[in-house]
Amino acid sequence: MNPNKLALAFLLMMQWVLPCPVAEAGVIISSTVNQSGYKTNFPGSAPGITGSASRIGVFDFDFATTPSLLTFLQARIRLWVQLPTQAEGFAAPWIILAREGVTDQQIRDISLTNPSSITEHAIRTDIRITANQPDQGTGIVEKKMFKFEDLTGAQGLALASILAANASHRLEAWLVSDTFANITVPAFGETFSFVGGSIVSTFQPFSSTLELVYVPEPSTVVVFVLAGIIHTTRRVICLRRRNSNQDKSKDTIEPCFV
Amino acid sequence: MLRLKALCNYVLCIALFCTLSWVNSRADVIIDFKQQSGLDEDFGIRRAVYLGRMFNGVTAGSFRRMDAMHAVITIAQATQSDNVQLFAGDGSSNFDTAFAQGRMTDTGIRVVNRTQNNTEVLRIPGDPSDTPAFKIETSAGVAIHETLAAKNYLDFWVVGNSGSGFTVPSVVGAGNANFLMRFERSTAVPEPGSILLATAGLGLLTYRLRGSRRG
Repeated sequence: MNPNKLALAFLLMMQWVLPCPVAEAGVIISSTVNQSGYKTNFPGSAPGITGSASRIGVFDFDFATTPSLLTFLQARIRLWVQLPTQAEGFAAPWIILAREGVTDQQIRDISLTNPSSITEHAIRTDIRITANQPDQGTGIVEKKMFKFEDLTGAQGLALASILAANASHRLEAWLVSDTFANITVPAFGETFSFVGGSIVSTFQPFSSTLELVYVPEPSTVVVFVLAGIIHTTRRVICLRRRNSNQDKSKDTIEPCFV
Repeated sequence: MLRLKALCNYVLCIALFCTLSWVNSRADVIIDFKQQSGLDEDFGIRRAVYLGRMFNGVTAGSFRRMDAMHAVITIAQATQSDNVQLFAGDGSSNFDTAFAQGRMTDTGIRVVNRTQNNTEVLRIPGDPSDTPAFKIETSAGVAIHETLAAKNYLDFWVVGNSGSGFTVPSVVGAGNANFLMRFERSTAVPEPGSILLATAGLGLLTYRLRGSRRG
């Protein structure tokens, strides 16, 4: 490998490790999908209380490498939802990230466990969607998180595992409450106006965006790869030189121990 | 033979007068259209969502009742098991108290979403332009009309089981979530004219019958 190729390889590696769109110590990857609209109710955390889990959507991520080599640090989400006005503070519903095809029962199981719990199917994150955000309204409104929410180390690893296990790197996001059933994350919204004695309907599809912040696995991997490239290059150069000197006596052939 | 012919004529005349007076009083429709409030209450007995106040300043008129209605509501995730009912009456907050005091009347309409994935505009029993109105029970129709007569407005609520998951928005994305109510009103009791005609007709008939027996 000549020095130009080596430099090119190095640049490619650096672009992978330190890409331009880095905002805060990591790479941001995002996925926007149409909302699912599916919801299931279940007995809540207290007697007589009904909880609910609404599937926001199945998010599809396009990673350059296998997600198992990545460490996920933060996440945030944008969605259209109707929340009860009491959904504030510890009563606010939270986000669960789950493998594609997770069952209702598996979502219920993790919904009724302690915060930040992890199962093989899903991660209960600390991301909460509250009713008192600035864009609050009684109805289907867009909820935007302006800041990324930190994931714990265990959550980040579990997320990598869930994404790596799916060939298309898909992930389901759910909005879950153990207190409220009157939560709606619709796929479509219909409104109407009354014009000239007739009812005229308008339809609006709703989409959601999930963003993840990740960093590649420790830099030792990169250092090892770079060292490997340098070693291989030097060995190739050495072998070429030796081949070109075959007509010389054995004594003059230099060993290639590099 | 002549007497029988006269008797038939009298009966025909009475029937015609009664029918005409009833038809004249029937042709009355009131309609209103407004943005939903979305105010949500659940005090453990039932879940009630306030739609809003309509027919402000509408005079009731005498001897009337609500005969039939169309309701158009923007709602999501109302299921059969939620048992979502449409109430009309007097009270813009604290449904439980208003209901206990007899100020709320069940219209008889039950609300169930066609699909559970979307926030929908439900036309009950169908589009007002091409579907016959939902028939309101007589007692409910009288009660709703009495409220309108006394208050010159009607408050509307959708009410389901406590803890049920239906939602009623005031906005849906960029648009307002509206509701529409259309009532067909009819005569609750015979009008004075009809009573007089019927009484006179019956008296005359009795007199003629007696006369025919004597004769």
